[in-house]
Amino acid sequence: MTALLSIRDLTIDYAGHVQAVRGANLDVHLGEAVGLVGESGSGKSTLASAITGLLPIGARILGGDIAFKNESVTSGRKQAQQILRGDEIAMVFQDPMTAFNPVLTIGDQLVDFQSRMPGKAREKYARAVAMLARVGIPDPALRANSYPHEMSGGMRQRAAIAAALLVNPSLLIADEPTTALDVTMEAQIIHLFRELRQDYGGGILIVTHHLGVVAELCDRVYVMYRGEVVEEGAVDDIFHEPRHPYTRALLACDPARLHERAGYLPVITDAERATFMQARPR
Amino acid sequence: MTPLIEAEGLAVNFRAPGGFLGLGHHRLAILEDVSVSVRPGKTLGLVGESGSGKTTLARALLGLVSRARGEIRFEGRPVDSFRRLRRKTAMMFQDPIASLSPRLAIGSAITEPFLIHGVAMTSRRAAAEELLALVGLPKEFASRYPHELSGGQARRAGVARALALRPALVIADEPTAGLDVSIQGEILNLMTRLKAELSLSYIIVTHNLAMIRHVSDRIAIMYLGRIVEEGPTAEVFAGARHPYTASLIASEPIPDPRRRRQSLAITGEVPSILRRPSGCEFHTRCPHAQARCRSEAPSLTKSTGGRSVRCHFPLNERFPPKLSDFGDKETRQL
Repeated sequence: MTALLSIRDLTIDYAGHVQAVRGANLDVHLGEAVGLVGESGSGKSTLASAITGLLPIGARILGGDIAFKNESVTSGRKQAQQILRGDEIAMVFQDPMTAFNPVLTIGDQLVDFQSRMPGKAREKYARAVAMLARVGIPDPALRANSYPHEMSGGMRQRAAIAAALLVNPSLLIADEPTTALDVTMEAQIIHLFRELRQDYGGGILIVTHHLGVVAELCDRVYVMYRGEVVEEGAVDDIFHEPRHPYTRALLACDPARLHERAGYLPVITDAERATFMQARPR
Repeated sequence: MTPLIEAEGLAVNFRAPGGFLGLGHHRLAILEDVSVSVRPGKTLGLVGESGSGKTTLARALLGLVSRARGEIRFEGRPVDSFRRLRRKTAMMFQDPIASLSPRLAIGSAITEPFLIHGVAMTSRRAAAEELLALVGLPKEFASRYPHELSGGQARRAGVARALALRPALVIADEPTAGLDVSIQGEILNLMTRLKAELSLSYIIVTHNLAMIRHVSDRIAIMYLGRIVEEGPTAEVFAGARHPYTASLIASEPIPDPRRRRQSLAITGEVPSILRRPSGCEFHTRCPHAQARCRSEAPSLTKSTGGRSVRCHFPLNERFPPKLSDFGDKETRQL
């Protein structure tokens, strides 16, 4: 099976001195949900922004290749990247407030997101309303008339997911999609992603530091540490038979995995951290 | 033993939006009938979703927002002026970097309480270094500025500032928000160690259930400005009595792909505080709501085991709670 997205030996540096991503390999296939986990500073967000060509100023791809449907993204022209971003790859960000323009209604913005798609404005509006209904927004016709600030955080994140799915992308990248939400909203968004997977045939890449979200949603997982992908595998193997010491340490310090009440919580010590980079999975 | 701090029947109102030139506006109840207490050396967790009033309660306890009704007692004596509390209490605010002045070096920021309260110190430098050592930061940090710190380091600085005057009570508002799990553990372990060393009491405000389960002795669950359940942490987690508590616990993603949840424990959103539901305010989302819940508001009732619950039809009451009830919606009994 050829991969939808295939990243090989990708190296990215910031301003010539910090290597944010080093020799990373990652694949996403159609119909699969892939988790990319790591702590802050692990390079997971840099890697995700490189896929869509949204690397911050100062960041450069030093080596390696990103291929989407067997065509290199990194060597292509800027315009080709933009088309890819609008038609084939959609993103959902952490903060659903900044994802929308505050002075336009949600409905109008959902029409704008379809600018490269055929159809009249009226049809696009109808499609937008239908998509709002699909992501579980009550009174979608009424809500399409709302401004972003009139919606709760959970509603806005649903609307952002609707916006991403409107262009029917083959790859959906969600960067910390539940981090800004309360636990009940988080559960609802996780549930929504699962539901959507039943009729959305594309690939999903979920970038998060939250192990619970990965366990609930993903089929395969990549673990990043200090710019390197240190472990990759099926979700069950990662959670039940982790091979890299960093993966083991990361799992061990999640308080949600401790069954007994602990006086002191497990942490990753600096001494342990020093050994992770030399370690190779057994 | 007298509680260190105690609130009884606390109510806080904010001004409702609307009105004209301040005329014709009405008051909006943010907190209603809230009673909490913390015994010396103990930790109380205040848990709820955004808008549940947990931060407002924490602020009201220290007089940072004024109360409409109710009494607050500190060390057994009613509090009229919060000045008496200022040196004995401290607050760790939610955003550690934003709560430190960007123009003050860390050393100055953490020793500011000494100047504000006119407390003598040998030298400002020595006091700063002592506080930094207390929270495990190298002394060079005294001359760094907040923007040079990582999230975890800024939290440590926040702890140092809170502990400068050796308070008896520290209120920590979301002390671990935005931190990676391993750093979260470091901050909580630091707080646990200092609690023992300096005989502190904590009130920890959070929405992180996985964390509060390990660090609190008692928890109070809040919904729309009211406490819906209160009790010893281990027992509440072993068998929640309020359906809201049970749904919160069941909503936490489980970091184990073999235990994926198939159904949603709770649907819908927290109603707007401008339009409080009738009767029990949770009935709009409660899976067990009955006719009585829609019309009659339950009161917070004491039940067995030092627990209270605000529900007409509490869960897990007749049976001793089993550990297997934890987080499992199917096995809990009505």
